[in-house]
Amino acid sequence: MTNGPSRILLIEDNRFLRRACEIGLTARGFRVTSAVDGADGVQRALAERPDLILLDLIMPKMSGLEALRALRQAEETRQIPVLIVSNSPREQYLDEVTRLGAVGYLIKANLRLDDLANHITGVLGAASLGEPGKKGTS
Amino acid sequence: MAEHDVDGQCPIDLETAREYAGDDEALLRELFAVFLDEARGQVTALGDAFRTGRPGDVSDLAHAVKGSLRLLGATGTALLAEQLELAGRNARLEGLGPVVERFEEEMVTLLRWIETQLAKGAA
Repeated sequence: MTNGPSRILLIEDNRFLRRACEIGLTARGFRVTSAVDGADGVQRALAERPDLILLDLIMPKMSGLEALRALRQAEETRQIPVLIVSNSPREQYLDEVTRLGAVGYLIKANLRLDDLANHITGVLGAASLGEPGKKGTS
Repeated sequence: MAEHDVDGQCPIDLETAREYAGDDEALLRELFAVFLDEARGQVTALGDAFRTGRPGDVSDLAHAVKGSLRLLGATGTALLAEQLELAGRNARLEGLGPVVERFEEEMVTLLRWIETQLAKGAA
């Protein structure tokens, strides 16, 4: 992790949610960049190497699951913690995203921006301590 | 931001929207503006997709607007969007007309209310 604000890459196709997270998380001290679909997200992750990635699952061009697989296969992004933020049912995807190394699965509809910021802080704290991943659900 | 106005009752649970925005009124206004900008086109496109028999597009558009509606506390309208999303995903558009119409009506009310709120703030 670099000095300064933690760098968050948000991969989310819904413009409203992107904007909400960009403004809300920036106000809470994070540096946020965003990508509009899975393919864009993987490219940005490779180029920017953020401290943490927030990943939606249902997106055009490349789904969140495909993006997660690509992020795990690339040497440059393999170690970056990925937090799933989706409205898709957890029971449908949790096993697979956990197997692929996601550190948590948050349901957007139940998630306030303060809660999201707290989850991010928790994951980054665990990562800096070298823990394999602090599992988060909401 | 007023809970009620001359145009009628607030069509969203404003507390939910405020909680989501962390009680930040400026952020809430900005989110309303983004929603207004985004949702108008989505509602029109969803109606077109239904009327021209494109279930995949109905599902995708309903899914997109549903997420924003939930976060803004428009729970009833979000449930209609969810119904449309599932019907579209299962390619079952027959008999869905009344749901589409109700969804469009609720969205018109919601978007008008948001417009009024933003206009008041700009005055």
